[in-house]
Amino acid sequence: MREFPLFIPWEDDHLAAILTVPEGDPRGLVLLLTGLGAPRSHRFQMWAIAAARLSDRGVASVRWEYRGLHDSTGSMRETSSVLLTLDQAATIATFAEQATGIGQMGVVGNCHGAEVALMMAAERAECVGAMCILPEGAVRGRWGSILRRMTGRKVSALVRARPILRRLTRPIRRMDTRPKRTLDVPLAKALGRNRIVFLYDQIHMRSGPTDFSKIRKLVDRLPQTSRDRCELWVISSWGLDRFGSVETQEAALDAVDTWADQTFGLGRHHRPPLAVAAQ
Amino acid sequence: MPLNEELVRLYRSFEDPEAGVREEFHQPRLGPGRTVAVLSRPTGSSSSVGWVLCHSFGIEQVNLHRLEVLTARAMAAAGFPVLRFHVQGYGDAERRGEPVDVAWHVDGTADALSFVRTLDGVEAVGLIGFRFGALVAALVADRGGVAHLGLVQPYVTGSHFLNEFLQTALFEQMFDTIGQQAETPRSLLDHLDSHEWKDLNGFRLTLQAYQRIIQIDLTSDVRRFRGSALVLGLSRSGEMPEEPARLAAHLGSIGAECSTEAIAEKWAHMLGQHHFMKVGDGEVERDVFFETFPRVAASVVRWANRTVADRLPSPAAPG
Repeated sequence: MREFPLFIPWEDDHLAAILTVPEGDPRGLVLLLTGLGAPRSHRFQMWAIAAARLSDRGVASVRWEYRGLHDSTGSMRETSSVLLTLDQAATIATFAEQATGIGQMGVVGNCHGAEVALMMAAERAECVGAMCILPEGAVRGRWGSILRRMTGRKVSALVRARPILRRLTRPIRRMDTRPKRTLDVPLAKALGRNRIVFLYDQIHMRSGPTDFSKIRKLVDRLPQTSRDRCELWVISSWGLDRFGSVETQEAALDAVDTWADQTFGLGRHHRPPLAVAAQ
Repeated sequence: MPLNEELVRLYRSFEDPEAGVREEFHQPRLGPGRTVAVLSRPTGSSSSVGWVLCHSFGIEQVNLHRLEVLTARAMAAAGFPVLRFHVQGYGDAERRGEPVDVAWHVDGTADALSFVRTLDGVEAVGLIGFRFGALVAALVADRGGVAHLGLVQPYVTGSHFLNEFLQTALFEQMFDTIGQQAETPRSLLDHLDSHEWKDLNGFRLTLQAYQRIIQIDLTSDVRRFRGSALVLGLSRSGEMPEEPARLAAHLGSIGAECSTEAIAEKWAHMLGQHHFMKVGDGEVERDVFFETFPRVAASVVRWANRTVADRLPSPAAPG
């Protein structure tokens, strides 16, 4: 495996990236995206490890940092819109394709990166699939927003800190969330042409902004061929949002390996790994 | 199709003429493996003092990385060559998915100093460390050959750092494992006694690392450093926090030329933790240290400019 650290120009800035290429001709290219705030190697080197494992399978990868974060130049006071990061992702993908000459690309991302991954799968003709880890597909509804504005952050913090209050308010919170508007069109487009795997853990699948039922609702409206391309894989351990346990890290890395094998037709695995159940 | 080597070589560096900074990626062997390092240099004339930045421990390496980057770029803009790098076990370093060995921090820093000493025009070197990285910087500086030592929110002892590090980790764990038995410092130690490592919210903490860190006591481990030092502390009140103040007193007592500076920061207690907080409806997150990190970097640069100028030989009198 060879790794090339790079500063790739984007607008007036430079995005810090690492291009990893296997020995011999690569079979495909994977764009590894992070949530906002994480470095290119991700927490606990997750994407650096994933890049090495993909390389063992003959797959090249590129991981990078958003503008204003870590080694990239520019500044970011507040997390920026998904459209801005999509443009950065497209620049990185184009560069990596030019450098490696690979015409088949898959995208893996978590949180904000999962939304970008979905959009890449919708927009890029060379994209052959995506794995979206805990995308935030749900947003607070009208009542939650009004309540938050009236009572401020302290009441929300109080509810979050008290398990009993959290449990009591869960049905209200679930009712008062709606699918994120920006997800609707890319989800339909992406599933219209690509297989998309959604990776969750049990805790995040049914609550808060990662509530998968909101994405499921959108998927259920699509034609059968598109619905067939949507897969949900669920990790049995906890802490997928921050790769917060070694067990979860292993399960997520196994899932990426399996997804890559399936996406690039390597034929090593045909089912999700043991720690991950398809639903 | 073969890799376009020329293209990847071309993008290994960039230059920002407006800021007067050039940055280049390097892949040197630092500690027991290769790693990725960034060398920041001025586009104009360069100082004869080169610097190495020392990052913190565990997940703090990620959370304080932007502060390192801003410091490196501000130092380079002021004329200094600065190297920042990933210790083995972090970021893009060759050792991946392994428990971090404290010796990797120390050995990596010593190797990074050797790297900077080989740069054209560099005659003296300095270290700048952030929280745990400050402990490492002080230990390495005490071995000799380091003229300047910048310490940002430092500790006097490893046990104090570890206490805060573990408290934060166990607090986070409480939220993630609702309904399960909460971890305590005692149960964590019991676990370490009988296992190779403890999974601390995704970070593998070994008994060896734990023991090595609690052994660190700069009042006894640092006795020979006589160079110039900066101890920079952050607190809500703007007063120098207790640990940095104690360390500054110690450095002064052994003959180092120690400056101190305290910065008022509402979120000082969060330094080293995730610093993006949800605002409004929760769809946007804001960096709580957006203004503070550049202030810290500017303070380090002011001190570096001052201390390096103080040590330059006086120009010969005209005539």
